Amino acid sequence: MSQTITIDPVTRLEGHGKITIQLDNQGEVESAHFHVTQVRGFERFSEGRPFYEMPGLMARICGICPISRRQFPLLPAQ
Amino acid sequence: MSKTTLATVWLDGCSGCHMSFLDMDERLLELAELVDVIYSPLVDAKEFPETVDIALVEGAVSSEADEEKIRKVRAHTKTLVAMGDCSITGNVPAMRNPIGPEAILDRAYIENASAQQQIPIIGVPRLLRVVRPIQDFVKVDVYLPGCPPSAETFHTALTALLTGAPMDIPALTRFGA
Repeated sequence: MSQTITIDPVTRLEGHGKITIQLDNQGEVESAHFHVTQVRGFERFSEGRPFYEMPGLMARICGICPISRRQFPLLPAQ
Repeated sequence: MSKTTLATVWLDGCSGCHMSFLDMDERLLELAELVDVIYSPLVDAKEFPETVDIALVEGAVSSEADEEKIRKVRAHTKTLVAMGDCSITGNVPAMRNPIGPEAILDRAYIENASAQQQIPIIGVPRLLRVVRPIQDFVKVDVYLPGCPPSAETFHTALTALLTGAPMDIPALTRFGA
């Protein structure tokens, strides 16, 4: 009997994720999808903004790893 | 006497407010004597419970799923706390508002993709045209500004909520803090 297994939300993961697994009639995996259910658009809205805003802005991509994100834009700025 | 039930929710945020909340460190143990965290991205609950005493909500409302979620949270919660600038003003997620969702999706999934360029549509919620703060959808009881609000702010605010003591929010925190 075919069945869909849904894991929603994917817990203990930053960002929003959902997993759906489609099983066929034999209970074997027919397909599996990982859905990313959040997009904010940093790549686009930071365009045209002053370079000195970038460390502060990029740090807000992720609250768990803001530190590494602050350092990265400083390299091209130099 | 049963403990106060606490839930935390993230909408379109970065989890920074949640991390700041966790930065209360050992004071979380004192808090654990008074509250039961019954729903949170930090624990394994999948369904928002029937009744929650205090819900801390992080993140703006950017998609239909966020909107559905905040309405559900409000309906099942006694005291709704908007934590962090995103939930109060829109903040960083709202920076896409002048540009519009189509350009955002194009840049992320078409222009910047080196393989299989396509806008995802299967099993992902539709983006709202405009990112908005949660108060545009539901009544908010307490506002905790900051990006993120400090652990100190969380501790003072939660203690006040749990003991019924008064809170002076402007003295504790501000937007962009």
